[in-house]
Amino acid sequence: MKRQHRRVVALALLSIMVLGLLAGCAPKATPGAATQQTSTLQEVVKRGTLRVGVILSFPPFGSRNANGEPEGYDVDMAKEVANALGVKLEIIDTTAADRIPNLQTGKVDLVIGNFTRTAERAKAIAFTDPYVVAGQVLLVRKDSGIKGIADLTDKTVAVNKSSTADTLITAANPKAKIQRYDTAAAALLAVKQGQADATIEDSNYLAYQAKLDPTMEVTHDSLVPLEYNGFGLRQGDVDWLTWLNLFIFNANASGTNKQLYMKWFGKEPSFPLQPQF
Amino acid sequence: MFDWGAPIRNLDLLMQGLVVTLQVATLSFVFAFALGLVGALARRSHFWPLRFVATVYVEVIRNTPVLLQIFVIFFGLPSVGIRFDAVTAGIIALSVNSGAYLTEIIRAGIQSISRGQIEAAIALGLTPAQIFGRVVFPQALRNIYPPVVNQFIMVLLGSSLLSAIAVPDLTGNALVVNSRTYRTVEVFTFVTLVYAGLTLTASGLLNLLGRLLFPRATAR
Repeated sequence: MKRQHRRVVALALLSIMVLGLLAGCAPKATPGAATQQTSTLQEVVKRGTLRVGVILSFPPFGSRNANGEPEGYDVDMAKEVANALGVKLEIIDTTAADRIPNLQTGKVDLVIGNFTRTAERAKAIAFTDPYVVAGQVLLVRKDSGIKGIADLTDKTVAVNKSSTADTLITAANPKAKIQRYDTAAAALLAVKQGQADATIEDSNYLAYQAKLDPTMEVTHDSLVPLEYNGFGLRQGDVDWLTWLNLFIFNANASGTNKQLYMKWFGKEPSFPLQPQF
Repeated sequence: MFDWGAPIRNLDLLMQGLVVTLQVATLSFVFAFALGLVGALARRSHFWPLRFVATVYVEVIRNTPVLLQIFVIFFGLPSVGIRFDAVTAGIIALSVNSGAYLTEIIRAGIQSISRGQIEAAIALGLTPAQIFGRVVFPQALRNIYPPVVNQFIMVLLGSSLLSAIAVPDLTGNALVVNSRTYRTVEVFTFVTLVYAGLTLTASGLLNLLGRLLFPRATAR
């Protein structure tokens, strides 16, 4: 009798635990994916919340501070967008590889993630005008003797699985060995720990990293034509794209963008936002 | 809407990944089984320090996430001057991890053999090594065969975590194909089906092997 009693209690406990778990996993509605008739712009204003995908493993563009709150250049940019819209901001942590899927599946309204605009990517999503300009450089250990891509023959290069660097290296020096990591932070760690000889990334990001670790240095020249990075959004949403381009124009004209850049990178932007002939 | 050609056009890259997955999983499982056997014997040893070491090993491994174990071996050990390439580090991590689970599985198998059989073997004049090798272990293996097969499947699927340290396995290459084609749903659905086919084939073959090895077990 007593034994049966205990079994009932155990069952009750178990079902409470299972129910609790299920409640935690209950699917949230993901609006925006299917209904393209209404613009994301109107949806965001109606919802009162802007959901922005930011790469929080990519300081100083995005990271978390001691309290676990998102911070960085891209995060501040997202805050400015939300302010201009007059809505609350929800930052959604993403990775380079997940930027496009997050947009396509309607999990975010916008990606601000140091997003390089390529013709290939623009087949899948839409890009705004550029808000930041970057080159690509190598980060190496100071004692490595690597000065450029030509020195990478038979050396190991750590890259982010879906950054533009991957295809770049393979084309420029096919003899370089490539390791593909999930985040830029992991690729950087691989170089620091001697698991790779170099990593290739955005010049802004790597200059900041070299400043933090005196045993590392960046190579001088950009390995690519400059990259003009924009916000990413779903295709076919003219209202949203127009609004965002206007926002970027205003942020540039008012000097807000430059202020934010200097706050996070400690110097003036290296390259002008528009290319010259 | 869907473009199922995306995974097909990149089939060679995905198949290279599949080969790496199979190699890593098989090697890891072989080492893990050896580790598990040693661990199980150590846990039943009369010499307490051996028992202690084995218990600490099992408890530490079973109570920490395997992804962190992988990171510690690949990213952490170079700090103390031990450096493995990604594939080696991955095999070590999976072996050490799975070895702890196999320690417990094999120990359970050994304990399932009744004391009377061992006494009978002693009475027949078998040496301790003969008792273990001819009486205890073969029967233990028969009893634990299903959970051991299950553990192999766990290693096979667990090897997907190694993509985080840049091992070009099936998952790692799928992430690369995804980032080149942006055909997320198609690529991951395809790879999921490949994994399912792989594990179903593996467990089917291993169950068949089990029937051949232990005919009495299936007669029951």
